[in-house]
Amino acid sequence: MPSTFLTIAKYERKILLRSWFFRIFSGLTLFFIFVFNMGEVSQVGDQTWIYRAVPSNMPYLAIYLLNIGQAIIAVFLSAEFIKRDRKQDTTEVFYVRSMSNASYVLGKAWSILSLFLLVNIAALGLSLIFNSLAKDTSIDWQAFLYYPALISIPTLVFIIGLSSLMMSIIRNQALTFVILVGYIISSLIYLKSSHNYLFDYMAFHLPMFHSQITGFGDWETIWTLRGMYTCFGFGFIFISILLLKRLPQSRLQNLMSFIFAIGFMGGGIYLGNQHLNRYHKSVELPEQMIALNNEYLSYAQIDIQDHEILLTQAADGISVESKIIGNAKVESKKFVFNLNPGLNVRAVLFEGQPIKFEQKLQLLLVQFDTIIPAGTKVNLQVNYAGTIDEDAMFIDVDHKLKSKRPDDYLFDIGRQSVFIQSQFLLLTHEAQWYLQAGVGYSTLSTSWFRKDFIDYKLTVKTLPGLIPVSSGQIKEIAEDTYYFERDFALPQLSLSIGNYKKKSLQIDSLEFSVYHIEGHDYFHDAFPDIRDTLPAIILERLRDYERNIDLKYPFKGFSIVEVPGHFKSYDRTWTSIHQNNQAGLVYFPEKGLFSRINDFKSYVKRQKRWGRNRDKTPEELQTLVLHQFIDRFFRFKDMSTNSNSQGTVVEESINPYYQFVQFYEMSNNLDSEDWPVLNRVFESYLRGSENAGPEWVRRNSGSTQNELANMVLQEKTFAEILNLKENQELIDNVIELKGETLFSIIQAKADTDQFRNFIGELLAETRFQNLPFENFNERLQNEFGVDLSDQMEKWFNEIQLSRYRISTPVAEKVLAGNKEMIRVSFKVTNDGSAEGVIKVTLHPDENKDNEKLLYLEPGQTKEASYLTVTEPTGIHFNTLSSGNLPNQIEYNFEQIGKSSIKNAKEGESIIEEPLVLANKGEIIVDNESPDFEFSHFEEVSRLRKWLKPKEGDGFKYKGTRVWRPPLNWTATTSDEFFGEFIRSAFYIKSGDGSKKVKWKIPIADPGRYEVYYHVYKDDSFRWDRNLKGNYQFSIPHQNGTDHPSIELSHQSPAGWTALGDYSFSSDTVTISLSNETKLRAIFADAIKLVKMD
Amino acid sequence: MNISIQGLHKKYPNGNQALKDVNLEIKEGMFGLLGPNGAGKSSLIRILVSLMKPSSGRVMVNGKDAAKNRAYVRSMLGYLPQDFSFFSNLKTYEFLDYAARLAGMSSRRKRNQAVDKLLEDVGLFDVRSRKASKLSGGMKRRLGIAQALINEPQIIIVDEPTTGLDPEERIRFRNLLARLGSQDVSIILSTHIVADISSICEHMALLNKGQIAFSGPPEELIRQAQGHVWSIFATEKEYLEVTQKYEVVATVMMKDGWKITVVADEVIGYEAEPVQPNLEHAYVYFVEHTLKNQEI
Repeated sequence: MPSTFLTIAKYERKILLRSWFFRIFSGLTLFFIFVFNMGEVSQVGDQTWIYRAVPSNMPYLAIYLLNIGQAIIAVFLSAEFIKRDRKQDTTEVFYVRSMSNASYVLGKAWSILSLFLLVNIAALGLSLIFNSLAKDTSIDWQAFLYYPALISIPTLVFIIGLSSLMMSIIRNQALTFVILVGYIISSLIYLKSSHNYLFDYMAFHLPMFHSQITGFGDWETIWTLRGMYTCFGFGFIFISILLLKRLPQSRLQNLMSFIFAIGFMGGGIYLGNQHLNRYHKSVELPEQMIALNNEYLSYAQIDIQDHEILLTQAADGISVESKIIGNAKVESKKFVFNLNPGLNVRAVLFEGQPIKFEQKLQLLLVQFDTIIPAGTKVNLQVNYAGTIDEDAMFIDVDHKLKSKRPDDYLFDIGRQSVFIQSQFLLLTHEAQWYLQAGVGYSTLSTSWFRKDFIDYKLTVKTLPGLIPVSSGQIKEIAEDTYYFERDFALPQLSLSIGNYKKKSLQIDSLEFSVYHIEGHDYFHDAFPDIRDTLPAIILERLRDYERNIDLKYPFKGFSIVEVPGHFKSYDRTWTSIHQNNQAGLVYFPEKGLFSRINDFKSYVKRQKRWGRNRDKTPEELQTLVLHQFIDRFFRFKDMSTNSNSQGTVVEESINPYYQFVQFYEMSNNLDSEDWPVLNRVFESYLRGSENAGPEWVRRNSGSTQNELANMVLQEKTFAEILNLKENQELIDNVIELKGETLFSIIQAKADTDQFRNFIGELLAETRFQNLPFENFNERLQNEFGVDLSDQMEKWFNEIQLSRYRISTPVAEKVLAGNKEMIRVSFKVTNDGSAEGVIKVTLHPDENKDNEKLLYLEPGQTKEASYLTVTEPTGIHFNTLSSGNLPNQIEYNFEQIGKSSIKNAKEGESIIEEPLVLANKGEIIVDNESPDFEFSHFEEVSRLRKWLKPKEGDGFKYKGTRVWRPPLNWTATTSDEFFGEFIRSAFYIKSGDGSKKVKWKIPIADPGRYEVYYHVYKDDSFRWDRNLKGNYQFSIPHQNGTDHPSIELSHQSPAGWTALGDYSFSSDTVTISLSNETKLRAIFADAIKLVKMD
Repeated sequence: MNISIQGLHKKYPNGNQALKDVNLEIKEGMFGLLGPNGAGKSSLIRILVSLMKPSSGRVMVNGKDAAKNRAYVRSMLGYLPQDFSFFSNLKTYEFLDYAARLAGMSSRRKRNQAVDKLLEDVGLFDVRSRKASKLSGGMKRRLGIAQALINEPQIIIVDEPTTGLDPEERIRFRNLLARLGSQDVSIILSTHIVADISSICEHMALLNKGQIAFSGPPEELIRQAQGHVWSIFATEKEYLEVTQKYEVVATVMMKDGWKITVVADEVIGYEAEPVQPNLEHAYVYFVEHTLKNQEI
C-alpha cells in the first residue's frame, strides 16, 4: 500500500502542479505575501511594530494570508479531482489496477495536501527572508513550525476531506463548490466567533497570537478546535474511501478505513463536544454567578479596613493566606464575601479558631458561632488555593461583547485577562483573587460598583528567580519572598510575577520605572541624544498635565509594567479604570506592540522623513517621539472608524493606558449610596471634555457620540439610559456629558474661579479615603450655597434639556480703560426646558485657560462680552448636554471691526427680549422647516438591495462625504450651516437637474424683497483652489420666473449670499434649487427674504 | 490462462437487463466479442475488469472467483477502455511510468526499460516527452494500448479499440494486437466492427441483446452463412424493390444497373448468384436472419 499510495500522490501532485489554476493561485498568493511583507515588515514599507515586536507574528502573517487563499482553492481542487474521477474512461485504466481504494483516495488527498505544504514552505521562506532582514527583532524558529501545523494542516485536511465527501455524495462539482464556498463565507462573515470560534475552520478569526512571555492565549480552544477540524477532515477522507465508486479490493483496508472513519469522526465529535461544553460553561457561569449574587445581595457584610495577603506562587496556581480586619456592617451570624470560583477555600479562622464556611461558586459564606453585633471589629483568616477561572471574570459584560472580534490588527491577537503560569502570573482585581466583602455584580443593585479604600499588605512568595510587581515599594524579606511597602490605601490590588528586570529614573521626588521581561529592553538606547533631558521632559509633561486638570499626581512613583500582548480588558460605564491600571503603575503589552510609536528607533527615523521634520536635529526628533509616547497616557479615548456602504461608524473606546485614573479614581472616591454613578460623573467633570476631533467624527459619521447622547437624552431620563445595557458606548457618553454639565452648572452658579481650587483642596484632603456624597454636598453648601441633593432627583429621573439660539458673535476693537482690547460679544437664548451652561472659548487658546462658563436658566436670554488682548481668530461654543446639533459651534472672525466704545467691560447681562432667528422684515425658511420639500428617488439596484437589505435608517443626520455624495437628498449637520437649534442641510450628488428641493416661503406682505441663500462651502474648496461651480435657483415672481445662480469658488464667501431682488404678490413663493452643477455635491440649506422699502 | 464466465446476469437499477445468462469460456489467444451497439458488450467487459458487479453469476479466472479475488485478477489485467483519454498534463513516458508503478513495477530501472520498450513497440518513442494533449488520436490509442500492456499482463481487454481511427492506424493497431495474441496471453477484443475480428481472432462470441448468440471460431459463423449470401444484378427499376425485400450488405453501381449483395435464404425473381460469405456477411446473416427467425 505505501508504494501505491506514494505513486498516486506523486503523479497526482505532478498533474496538479502543472495546472495553471494552481500555478496562478500559488504565484499570486506568494506575490501577495511578498507585497504585504514589503509593506508591513520591510524597511521599505511600514515596519509595522506588531510584527517585529513579537517575531512569531511574521510567520503568522504569512500563514494567515496564505491560509485564506488555500482554504478556498483547496475546495476547488479537491472537487475538481473527484470530478475528474467521474469521467470514468480516464480513471478506469487506474481503477482496474491492483490497488486498494484507500491507497487511491489517500494518495489523492496527500497529493493536494503535500503540494499546499510546499506552498506553505515557500511562504514561510519568504517570511523568513523578511524576518532576517528586519531590524530590532529576532527569529522565532518554533513559530515556523507551529503556525503551519496549527493553521494550514487542519484547514487543508478538513477542506480536502469535506470536499471529497461532498463530491462523493452530491457528485456535482458546481453544487459542491457553491455549498462549500457558502460555508466558507458564512464562517468568515456571519458565524465569525460564534460559539467561541466553533465554525472558524480556517482559523481566520481564532486568535492565535503567541506571546513571547506566555505563549498562546487560549491554548485549550486552539488545540481543541484545530484537533477537531483535523479529525473531521481525516474522518471525511476515510468516509470518502468507503463511498468511492470503485469495487473494493482489500476487505482489510476497507475495514480499516471504516474503523479510522469512525475513530476520527468520533474524535472530532468528542473534541467539538468538549469545546461546546466549555463554551456553554463560559456563557452559563456568569449567569449562575449573577443569580447567586442577586440571591445573596442583602446578606450581611464586613466592611474591610485592613487586608493582609500572603500569596505563594505555584506552577499551576496560587495559595493564599488572607487576614482581614474589618467591622460588621450589620448584626449577623453569617457574612458574605466573594472570591473567584476557581479558588478553593481550605479554612476560615476567627481569632485563630476554625469556623464554618460554605463556598457557592464565587461566594464565600462565613458562619460565626455567635452573632456578631454591628460595628464589631472582626479578625478573620481565610486560606485558599487554586487557580483563576477566567469565565468568572467580567460577568457584567455582555457575552456578545466578549465574543466580538476587534479589528485592531490584521489578525485578532485575542484577549486574556488573567495569567497563571510557572513563568508568569498576572492577577488584577477583576480576577477576584483576593477576598472582597459582599457579592459582586448584581442586576438588582448598582451598589456593587462602589469602590472602597482598603489598606492592603501584600507578601509574595514567588517561584525561584521570579520578581513580583505591585503597587508600592518592593522589599525582599527572604529568598524569593517579597513585601510591598505602601503608605496609602488602595481601591484595588493587582499583582504580576515574571522574569522582570527594572529600569528606573529618579526625577525630583518621583521614581519612574519600567519593569520589562528579561530580553525585552529594546528601548534602552531608544533616545540616545536626549538621555540627559529625558527626565526633565517627563516631569514637565506631568506638571503640565497636573496644571491642566488642576490635580496633583498622588503617588511617589510610576511604573510601566510589561505584560503579555493579549492582556486586555473591557470598558466599564461606571469607571474609566481599566484593569491595565493599578495605583502608580500601568500594565503595558509586551514591547508596546500595539503602536508604532513604541518602536522608538524606527519611529524617530520615520519622523525624519516628514517634510516638516527634515531639518530637525536628532535631539528634536527624539523629543518629538518621546512626547508622542507620553501622549498615549494622557489621551482619554481611542477612536476608530468603520466604513461600509451604509455610512461610517465611529467607534470610541476608553484608552486603557489613560493615566487620569491615577489622579482621581486611584486616589479619591465620591461615594454615594443612592447614585453610585456620581463618582464617574464627578470624574468626567474633573477630566473636562477631551472630545478628540469632533469635527472629523461628524464629517465621517454625521454626529459625535456626544450628540447622539443628547438625542437620547431628549427621549429618556438619565436613570433609564443607565439601564440600557446594549449600548455601552452611548451610556458612557451620556454619563460624560451629564457629568460635565452638572458640575459645570455648579461651577457657573458658584460664579467663582475658586470652585476648582475648592475641589482640588477637597480631593487632597480626602485622598485615599471615601468622600461620602453627604459630606461633599455639605461642603458645597457651606462654601457656595449650592445644594446638590435638591437637584439630583430631577437630574436623574426627568427628561430635561436646554437648547440655545446663539447670535452671530461680533469681535471689535474697543477701549477698556485706556487700553485697546478686542471685545467679543454675542447673545444667547436658552429655549429649552432645563437650565444649562455653555462653555465658551476664544481662539487661539494657547494656555487652555480661556474657557468661560455661561449659565442660562430655561427661557433666559443673556448677552455676553469677553475682552482679550490678543486678536481672536474665532470663538468656540460647547453647549454640552443640549438639544443643539452640532453641540459644539465654531465661529471664525473674518475681520475685526473698530468701534468707538470706551470703557468696555467683560461680563454677562440678562436681556428681556429673547433672541429671534429672523429680524424684522425678514423671512427665513430653513431646511428644518416644514415648508422645505425635497424629492426622494429609489436608486438602489435590486442586487444591492438583495445583498444588503436596509438595516433601519439609523440616525437621521449622516456624515458629509463630499468625495462620495449620496444619490438622494440626505440630511447632514455642520456648525457652518444655518439653523435655529439644528444646523443642518440636505445634500446630494450633482446631476442633471432633475432632483430638486423647494422652499415654500409664506409672504404675508406682498412687495419687493431681496432674496438671499445661505451658502455652505464644503472641504473640497479648501483642497482644490481651482474648483468652481454654480448653484442654480428658480424664483417665480410677479413678472415671470428668474433663474439666478451663485458661483462658488475658492475665493467666494460662504454664508448669506444675495440672489437678487424680486417682487412677490402671491401669498407663497416657491423657490427651488436643482442638483445641476459642475461641483461634486449640492447643499440645500436656507433661504432668506428681506423686505425692501 | 482460463477465463470461465458462468451464468452471468446484469440488470441495472433502471430495469435494463444488460446481460442474460452469459456463459463463455475464454482461453489464451485473441478472443473477439462482437455485437451490435447496446448488445451488452460493455457491461460484460466492465464486469470482467472488475469495474462492476454482476447481478448474478460469476467469472472464474484460472479457477478463482474474480469477485472474491479482485487483487489477483487486477494484478494480471491490462485494460483499454473505449473512449480513452488521459491527463493532459502528463508526458507520454510519465503516464506509462505511472501505469507501470500501479501495475506493480517497483524497480525504477526495470520500469524505465519496460516503458522505453513499449514506447518503441507502439511507435511512440519519438514523442515520449510530448504531453498527451499534443498527441494525435491514433497516438493516444497506441499509448492506451501501451499502458494496458505494461508489466506483461496475462489478460488484456480492449473495448472498441479502432473506433474513430483512420484505416492506416486501424491496420497498424490490428497488427499490434495480433502480434500480442501470438503470446501466451488472453486478449479480449470487444467491437462492433467485424473486420477487427475477422483478421485476427481465433475465437469469438456474438452478443445480442444481452445473450450469447454464437460462440466459436469465426470460420464456424461463416460456415453457417454458406449459401445464404447472394449477389443480385438489378436494373434501375428493380433496385428499390430489392433493397426493400432483402437485407443488403453491399451495393455496387454497374454500367447497366446495380450489383447488390444480400443475405437471404433464397432469391426469387431476380438474376442472382450465390457468393462465398465473409465474416461480415455471416455477422449480418446471423443477426438479421437467424436471430430474427429465432425470435419469431
